[in-house]
Amino acid sequence: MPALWLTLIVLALAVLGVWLGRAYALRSAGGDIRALHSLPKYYGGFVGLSTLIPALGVLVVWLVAQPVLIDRTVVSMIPSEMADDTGTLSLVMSDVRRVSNGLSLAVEQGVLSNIEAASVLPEVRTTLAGIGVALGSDVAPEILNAAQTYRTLDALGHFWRMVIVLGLAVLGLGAALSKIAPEFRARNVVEKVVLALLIAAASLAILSTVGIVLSMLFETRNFFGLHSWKDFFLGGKWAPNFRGDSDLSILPLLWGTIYISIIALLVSVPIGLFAAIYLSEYAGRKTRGIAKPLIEILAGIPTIVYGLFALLTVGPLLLRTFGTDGVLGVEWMSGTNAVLTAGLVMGIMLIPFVSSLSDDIINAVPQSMRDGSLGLGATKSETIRQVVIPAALPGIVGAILLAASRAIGETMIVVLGAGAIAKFSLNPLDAMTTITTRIVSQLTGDGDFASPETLVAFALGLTLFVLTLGLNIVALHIVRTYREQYE
Amino acid sequence: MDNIKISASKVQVYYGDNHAIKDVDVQIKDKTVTAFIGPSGCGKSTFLRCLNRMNDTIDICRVEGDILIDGEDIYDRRVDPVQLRAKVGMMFQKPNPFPKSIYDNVAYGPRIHGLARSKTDLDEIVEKSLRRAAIWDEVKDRLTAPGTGLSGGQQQRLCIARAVATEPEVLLMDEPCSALDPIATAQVEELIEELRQSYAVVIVTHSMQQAARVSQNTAFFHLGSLVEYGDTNQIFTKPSDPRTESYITGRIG
Repeated sequence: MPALWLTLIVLALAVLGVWLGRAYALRSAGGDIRALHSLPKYYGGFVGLSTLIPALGVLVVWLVAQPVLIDRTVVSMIPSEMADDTGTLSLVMSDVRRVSNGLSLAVEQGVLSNIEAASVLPEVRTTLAGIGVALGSDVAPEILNAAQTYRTLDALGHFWRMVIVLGLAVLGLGAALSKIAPEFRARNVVEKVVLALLIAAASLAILSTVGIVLSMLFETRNFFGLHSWKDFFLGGKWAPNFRGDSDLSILPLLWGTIYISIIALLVSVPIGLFAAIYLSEYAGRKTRGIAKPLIEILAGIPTIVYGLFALLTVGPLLLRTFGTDGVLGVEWMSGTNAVLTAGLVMGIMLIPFVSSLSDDIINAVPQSMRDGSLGLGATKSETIRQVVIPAALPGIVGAILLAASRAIGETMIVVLGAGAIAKFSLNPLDAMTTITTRIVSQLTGDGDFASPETLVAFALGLTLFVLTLGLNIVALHIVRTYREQYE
Repeated sequence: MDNIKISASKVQVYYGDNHAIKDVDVQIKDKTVTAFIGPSGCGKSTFLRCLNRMNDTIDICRVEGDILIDGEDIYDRRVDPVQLRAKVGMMFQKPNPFPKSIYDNVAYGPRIHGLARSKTDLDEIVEKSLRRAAIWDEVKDRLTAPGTGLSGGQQQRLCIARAVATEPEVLLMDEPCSALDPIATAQVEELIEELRQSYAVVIVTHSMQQAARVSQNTAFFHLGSLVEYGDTNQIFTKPSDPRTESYITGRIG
């Protein structure tokens, strides 16, 4: 029985359990809800959950474990000369699975009987071709044998899976029903399950982070096995070469990343901060109600759209100003792709980020501070400059650091706006490139996956991750110490 | 009555549609402590905030009537509320030192108004103000420490020093002791008695004992109106209005 059907049956049993649980609880209390410890729906929930959780839990474990166990048994049956390395072994195993599925299909369609499918079949390739399963070559007797074992084990596994899962569901249902009594604390049990669910969700989020980091760590280790770490961290040149022997140094990319991020922050921090000050200190309620959502709309624009804006509007505009035959008559810029193009657009993207965080932080400065300053005869702007902003400064710094870590991780704007040349240059009108865009280009090429030119993407990614993680930790720490001060 | 500092007549305050202060007439004497008492929400703080136009910072608040300080209408259009507030200092319920050093807290006003000609001048002002607030001995060795690190009573005295440093002529205090323990309260009250030598002090308080202890004149507010105003001793011993008597004997409020 397929897993989907099994799940549906268990679900149906659980629904039945909910209904039965309610009914049992009501009957055990003689129809008087007040005699029960919990509301009837909690008894229903308890029975439903008891039916569902063990059965589905086992089903999930089984779905993961069965293929692994069967594979292990079958692999041991394949002669070692047919599978001398991992690559060939996985090809052979996929053949085995194919033949096994073909045999099952043949039995289903009546071409072969169950006994025939388990016997020695010399013409297996033609038979299977007849029912639409094409095999690349003739099937060796060892493979056929392995496939037949595979099929038998698989069928056996499926059968026991069904028996055990359904058995557990029924058992859970029965056990839960037998527990129902007026003094049974069904509500507490259900709440414990809810708690477990919440914990599971939280741990899943954390575990997936750990998983991502680990997978990057392993690939990065592979990379450093193939390429010297000295060149990666200390070299001065980025020149990937798909014939091998590349210069893969992170420094020119890091420079580009930092340069673009600095320009983005130079744009977004003053504008965002001033906008926040206006909105939180000067704007009336009406203006604020209109302006704040409008600024926050900027945060909802997909970054690829910002990238297009950089490519099609800001880049050409800068070129017309600074390029050949430009308005200024200087020849400082040769193409639309430049650090300044990407930095400006990224700055625009970050404005709502800075302004909305700073706005919250400025609003959190107690009114009594402002009153104190105004009461001493300070003007509004003196109050803001000398009292409100200093009080909010740690939080604002935190907001800026969070914006910086977004700038460092930003990809689409740089892909379209900054160009692809890795170099050290101070000229903001030069094309440069960043870590993120190089990750994209190293992984989207058709290079060998095991080559250092591809694996470098993981080392780059990990470095980027460590960088932004560090920034985020510092930022959150600053923001938190600030919050403790006033709440 | 030649030493009248503040003279208010027919003052009305509206918060939106809410008529918060109704027809208040009051004459506040110079070099005197005047206490405003009354149950919560009676408008005494609102009226206090009218005296240095702090209500201007609240959008929906509207003030009518005349308030004269030294015979000058403070709601006249020629009066800059910022200048006015330098002359009429204010202290708040909760100590609100700025997140700066103790020194910078006190130097804040003088710096803004350019009262000090030099660094030594400023040092002098800071020391003098801290001494007047009776906190100099406690903080003289840590003037660079943050003002927020002091205890509640010290913070409130720091705020007094900060207000005194701008050399105001009137000092408004909005329940300055409500967040303090009895010992700190006693210190602040002692201070108020001293400050009276140089300023007109107006204090809003919830504690009738405090009003009796520190003030020479008392005004009793009830539901936005000034019910009774006069000599403190007289208000507390032979109030003329039955509502005042009910309040001070604890039957209302």
